[in-house]
Order: sequence, then structure tokens, then C-alpha cells
Amino acid sequence: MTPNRCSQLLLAPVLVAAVLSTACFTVQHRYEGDKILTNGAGLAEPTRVVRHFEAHDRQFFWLHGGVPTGKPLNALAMAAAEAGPHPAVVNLVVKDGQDLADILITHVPCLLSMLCGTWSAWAEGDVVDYSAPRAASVR
Amino acid sequence: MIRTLFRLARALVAVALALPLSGCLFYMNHELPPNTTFGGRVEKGTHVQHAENSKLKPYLLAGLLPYPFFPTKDMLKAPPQGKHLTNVAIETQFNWFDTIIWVVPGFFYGYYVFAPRHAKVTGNYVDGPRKVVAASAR
Repeated sequence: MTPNRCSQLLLAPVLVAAVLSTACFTVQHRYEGDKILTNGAGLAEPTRVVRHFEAHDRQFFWLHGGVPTGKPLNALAMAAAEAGPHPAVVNLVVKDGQDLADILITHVPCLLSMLCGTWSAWAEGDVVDYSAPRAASVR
Repeated sequence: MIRTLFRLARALVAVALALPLSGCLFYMNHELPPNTTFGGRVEKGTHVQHAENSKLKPYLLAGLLPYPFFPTKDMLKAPPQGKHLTNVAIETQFNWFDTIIWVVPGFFYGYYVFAPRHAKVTGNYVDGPRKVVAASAR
């Protein structure tokens, strides 16, 4: 058996496992809470910017995404968390993918994502608060 | 000695090329029409029109080189007049198609050829124009 053939036979189970276990890694950017998250410059009422934020999160997975680990990525949840006690985030930018660290991890020790890898999500925007105080809502 | 230096130079050139490429290209920027609202509580009623779109984004060389002709931009169209786009959710998927396309050429040809990803965007068009007052600076 040639070394090339041997490496192919060793690689085959890893690739088969990746194929069979895939479709498990899905990044879902979802939010069902009360914060207003928009890519617009403001809301229907006058607001003022409280602070700007840039949030990043990274998730590790095995077998080309077949077995993700840890907390799922969610840029909208990150943005809502950054809002804190304030009601809204404006100028929101959402993206996901791989930065330099992800690519180095995924392609070097993780062997071109066959064994493992990382994926990142980013959220960037401005946390805002209403300029005028609002009356408390009555349930 | 010369061969070693040549190999080292070749590796350094590859790293030098990969660094700027990998630092800025393998992103899925989820751009949507202006004044789109993400998530939030879904309004019920007949005036809510659900919309969704799913596209494959191809990359060469394990994600180092994306095809430029498909950005993840405006996967949902701008709302018609009198409506606004809200409750937007976004998914990035490594599905079975993506992995088979990656595995088969890579396994046979011994290198990373094509690494696709799927992007899916859903949202609702709701009656009522979106009035926006730009936030004032701090």
C-alpha cells in the first residue's frame, strides 16, 4: 500500500463522518425580545446615542461544523445584550464568517476544517435612548 | 541551500498573500434595505406579508477567496410603499450540500476546491411606513 493510498484510507472516515454529521452547524441570528434592533439611523421618536459598540463572539466546532460546541452564535442576541437597560440599537451591522484567527485555527491545526474549526459573528451599532422621557405603560 | 531558500520564500509569499485575503474576505455581510428592524415580536393579522430568501455563497480555497458575484446583500427586497420590513432573522448554514461539494472534489483532488455556504433571510412586510428620526450624537 502506497503512502498516498494509506493517507486516503485514513482520511476517508473523517470525511464520511463530516458528511454524515453535517447540517448541524447553523448560525441563527434571531431575537424575540422587546429591544428594537434596526439598521436605520434612528427610531420613530427622537433618540440620543448612548454609546457605540462592536461585539464579537466565536464558536468552536468539530468535523466541519458537524458537532458544534458551546453557546450558539447569535449577533442579534449580542446586540440586544449590548443595549442593556436602553430600549434600542440603531445603525446595526450584522455579519458572520471567519477572521484571521478563525482561518488560522481552522486551516492549520484543524486540517482545513476536516477535524474542527471556528466561526465568528459580529454585531456593531449604536445603543440609543429616547430623548424625551416616556410615560410608563400600564398593563 | 538554494532549494531551501526558495521553498521558504515561496511559503512567505503564500502567507503574505493569504493574510490580507483572509483578513477581509471571508465574511458574510448581511446587508438589508434601510430602516429594517431585526427580530422583535411578530405582529399578527392579514396585513403581515411573510418573505424569505435563501442563497448559496461560493468560496474558493476553503474560504480564502469568495466569488465576488454574490454578496449577501438585499436578500429581501426593499418594502413597497406604505410598508416596512421587520422581524428579520438570518441563518448561515453548513448544510449537507455544502459539505458534499467540499468533500468530493477535495478528497479526489487532494486540495480544497470549493467551499459553499448557504445564507437564508426571513422577515415580514407590515403595513405602515417607517418614520425614522436620526439619533442625535452623545
